[in-house]
Amino acid sequence: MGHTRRMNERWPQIRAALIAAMVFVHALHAFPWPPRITRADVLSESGQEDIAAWMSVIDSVGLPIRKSQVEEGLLKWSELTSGIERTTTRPFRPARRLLKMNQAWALFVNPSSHPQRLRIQGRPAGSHRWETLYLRLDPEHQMFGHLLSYRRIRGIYDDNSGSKIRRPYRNFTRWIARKVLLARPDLDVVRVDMIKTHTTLPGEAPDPRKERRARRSHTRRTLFPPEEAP
Amino acid sequence: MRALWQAWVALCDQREHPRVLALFRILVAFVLFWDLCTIARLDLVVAIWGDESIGGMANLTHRANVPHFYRVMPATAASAWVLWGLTTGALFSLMVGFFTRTSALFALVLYAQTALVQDSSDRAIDTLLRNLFFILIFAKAGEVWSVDAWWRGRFSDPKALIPAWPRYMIILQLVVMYFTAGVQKVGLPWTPFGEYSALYLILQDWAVANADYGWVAQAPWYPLTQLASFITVVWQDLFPLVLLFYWYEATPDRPGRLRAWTVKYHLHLPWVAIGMLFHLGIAVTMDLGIFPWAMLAAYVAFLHPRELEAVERRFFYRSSQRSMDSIHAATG
Repeated sequence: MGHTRRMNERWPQIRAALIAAMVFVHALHAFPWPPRITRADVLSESGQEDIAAWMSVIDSVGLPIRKSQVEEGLLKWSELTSGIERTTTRPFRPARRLLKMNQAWALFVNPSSHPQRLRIQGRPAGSHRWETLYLRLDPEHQMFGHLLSYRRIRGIYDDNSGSKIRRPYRNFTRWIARKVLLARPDLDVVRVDMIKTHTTLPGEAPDPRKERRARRSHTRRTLFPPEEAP
Repeated sequence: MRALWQAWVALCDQREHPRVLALFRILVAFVLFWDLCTIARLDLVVAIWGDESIGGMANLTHRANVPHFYRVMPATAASAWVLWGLTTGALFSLMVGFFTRTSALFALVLYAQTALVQDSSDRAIDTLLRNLFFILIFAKAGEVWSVDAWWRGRFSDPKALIPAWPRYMIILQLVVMYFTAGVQKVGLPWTPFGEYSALYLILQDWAVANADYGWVAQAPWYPLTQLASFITVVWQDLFPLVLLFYWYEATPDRPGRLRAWTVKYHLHLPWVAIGMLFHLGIAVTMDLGIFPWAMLAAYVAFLHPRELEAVERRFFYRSSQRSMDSIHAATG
């Protein structure tokens, strides 16, 4: 009885301590550690554009710093901060993984001037002409647009801006190709790619260049082996 | 130090009516419940959460860490539907307040499994929702407006009191999210060196915009996006101010002009109103799914139960007054 009463009396203190501990753990994860930067990130087109822009700022204030020093300094700083982050958050990693909780809110940190546009094309058997079936934000080409604009599907094909093609993207291209070939028996091949464009700012000369990325082609024969053919 | 600790203990011991946490529970769970229903309506359950061997996009067999769900269940289409059903069921149960805290725990664990199965389709808003469900596990958000409360015969108990700290933690979570998102916006487009072109660039991003916004390059739209970019960064960087506003409102008798102002004009409300406009703008111009709606649902936590009660009174008084007027008009 006395033990329960003592516990009840202490409960506000215990609860406050538990909440404080939880806030501390989340604060560790919430600390705005800069995202890890790799050499590939630095050497990428948008990375080089950013560094060039910062160099013009550095030059304008007359600091005697070279571009290579900025690049190496950036990589060293990124290595240091990501190391500290890894060490301090390591004990909580299992729980964080299990519950998929996080406090990393790097939202639109650096909006891209090289956005990518999903395109899906189909080709009938024996033809050389590709028909555009879907082009993101093109009202003329919206086959399966209601599925492709759904946020979770968009997340799968848009999560692909790095140099490496991720496995879910490859699975996505196979999935959408199957759907297209089932809906369009006249087509024999479906190809999916991302069109990388360059957004220039108002006042700058427009850049009409388009780069094709992450192309995947699927034929009816590979997706529907004879025993499964619709 | 001792005084600080005592103040923290007292803050964690505060109590308030459960109406705000109840409404928060209903709205937040509803937004995600709706999203999961959308997956079923579009017939995407197997596509998103099914293994690549059965035509899905998830990689469940060629990876080091197979999610716990698929360690127990076979990688079949039926299993993907079971995962969907259990998660949707837990969310519905949380929304209606049936075994509320247990439902929050199940919703969190199962929703985490969906994220582990298909990481690419799990966005920042999903992480935020899981963080919020974690808080709901410890909150008495089912004390009113729930099956639990109805079962106890206190569906709308005006005298109910619950610990207020979970609502404070929700506010802190939102403050942390906005503040850290703000201070990490170090990309040039968020700065004068990049002409504050961030929102312009985001509106030109094919994956994010919901229409072709090429016309925004024309005046006066481009300068407006620059202004909006500037306001976004400043508003996010200064978001912790909202905690100061709450503290001033809680200590109105202390001196200070800003405190007096805050108490008089309830400055947290216009601050939150800017956020609502921000998210409504996102909802109108961008294709970010449930993000703006889940954020707006979470904004309920910024209200004190007294403020929500005032809204309820005004709304119900007006609607009941209108009903009475129409009855009077109909009966002459």
